[in-house]
Amino acid sequence: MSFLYGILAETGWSLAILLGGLALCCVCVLVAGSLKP
Amino acid sequence: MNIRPDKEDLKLICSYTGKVLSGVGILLAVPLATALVCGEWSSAVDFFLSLCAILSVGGCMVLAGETKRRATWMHGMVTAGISWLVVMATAALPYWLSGQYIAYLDCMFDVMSGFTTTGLALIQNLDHTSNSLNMWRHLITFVGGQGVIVLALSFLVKDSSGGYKLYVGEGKDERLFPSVFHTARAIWKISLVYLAFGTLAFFLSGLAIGLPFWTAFLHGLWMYMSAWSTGGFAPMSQNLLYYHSGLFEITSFVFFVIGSFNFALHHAIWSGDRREMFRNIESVSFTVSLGTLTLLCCSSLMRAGVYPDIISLFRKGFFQIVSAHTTTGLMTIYPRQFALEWGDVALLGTIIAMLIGGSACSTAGGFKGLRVGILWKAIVQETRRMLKPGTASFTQSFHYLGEKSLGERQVRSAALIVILYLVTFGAATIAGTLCGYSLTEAAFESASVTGNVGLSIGVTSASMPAALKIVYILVMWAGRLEFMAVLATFGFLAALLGKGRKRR
Repeated sequence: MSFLYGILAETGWSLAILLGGLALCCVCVLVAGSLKP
Repeated sequence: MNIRPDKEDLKLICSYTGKVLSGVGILLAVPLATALVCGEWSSAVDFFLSLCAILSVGGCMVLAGETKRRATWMHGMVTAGISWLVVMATAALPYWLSGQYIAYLDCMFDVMSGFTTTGLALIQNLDHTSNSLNMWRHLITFVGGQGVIVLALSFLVKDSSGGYKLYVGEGKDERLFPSVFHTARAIWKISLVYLAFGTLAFFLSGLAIGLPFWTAFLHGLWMYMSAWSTGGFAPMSQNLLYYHSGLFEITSFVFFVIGSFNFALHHAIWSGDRREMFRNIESVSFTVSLGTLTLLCCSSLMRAGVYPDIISLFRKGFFQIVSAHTTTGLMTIYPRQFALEWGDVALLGTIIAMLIGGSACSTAGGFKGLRVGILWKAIVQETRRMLKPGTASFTQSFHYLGEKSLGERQVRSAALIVILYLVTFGAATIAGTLCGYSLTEAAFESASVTGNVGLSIGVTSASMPAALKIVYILVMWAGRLEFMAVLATFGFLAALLGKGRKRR
């Protein structure tokens, strides 16, 4: 069963990167929006 | 001066290359079976003829190469270099017989692109390609992710010492087990377990977006193979954009990120070492560089007003950056959008991401996060050394499957590989500009082939100059084998042509 743990952990890590990317996109949109004249 | 190879050396290399070729020949049974199941009789004949031809050539090479000489590092490295070229020339046969290529060079380009997990394609009329040919395209990229030599090692090569030298020659040097055969099989086990889960995930995603059952299964299998091997091939000419599905994009994302992990890291996590993922120098390096490049590219894209909202910035901007960094090459935009919309800063960030690439001993290309991490640690070490009193001594360490101290040999090796990648990138860029492409286009496509990525700015097409196709083939080959086997092959050929001294 250890491989199931491995798959879950790696999928979780990959999804965390995905969510981190979404958060960075939010930051970029907010910062770019606030800088507009 | 090199020792001039003699007949026994050539026999040994011939024998190993024959075994690698036979492994690839056996693989042709998969698209042949697909053709029979799908009733594609013309393709079935193509694959049957190719299978017979490749197995015959491979078998003859094994028989002709019988020798009692033991394999040295030279044999392992040269076999790794040569066997990739021989496999490219022969595995292109079914492509040529399909009639979907303008020239045999284009077939070899696509084979090298597949085996190196680059993902650039010169095939014509892809949208109407048979299922069996698509199976062969994606199988090539799936096997290439693990390595053609890993495939041969798993089943056909029985000499442990020679096997390890071949394994290292293919650009992998991690032993998951003391035995190289067990290591090769562990790599296959990890990939095949993910094959089951990945195909199921893509299949369900396909059903959810309304694909017919059989299409959902085949596209699911192929997209998994492409994503896991960080390949970038897709069954349709519009690549991932064809599906117009966020679900498909997220599924692809999960598997190409996991595919870019080091096989040793997979093995450690599967063995219950939960903390390795957070402490490993490659995971840290990947996270930091991806975060930095995402901020650079996405802020530039936002300022230019290319993607005005969060979702489009995420699905078009961030997706491409991660696809570049993991050296996958799956695209959710058209190639010319890079040239016409992205702007210099975002393109520069993408080029850097493509050159860095994924993890060592993974399916990914590039000069790898491990080497970036090691060079960063070396810079920190040198800075600390300058600031400390002359008599003080200290050791810089890093975490990579255990705590390791940073040695001069590791730094030299990492620096050498990075320099070779950058020189190759520069040479391919010059070749692109000499063929009439702009510097930006040439640099982008050059980074894509050097890092075995597959993102295209529109340079790669069947109409590009034949000389540039040859340059790109050589660059993909060198980048995938991480140069050592390629340099050994050139040295071997130079010695063979008379510049070495005779063996006593």
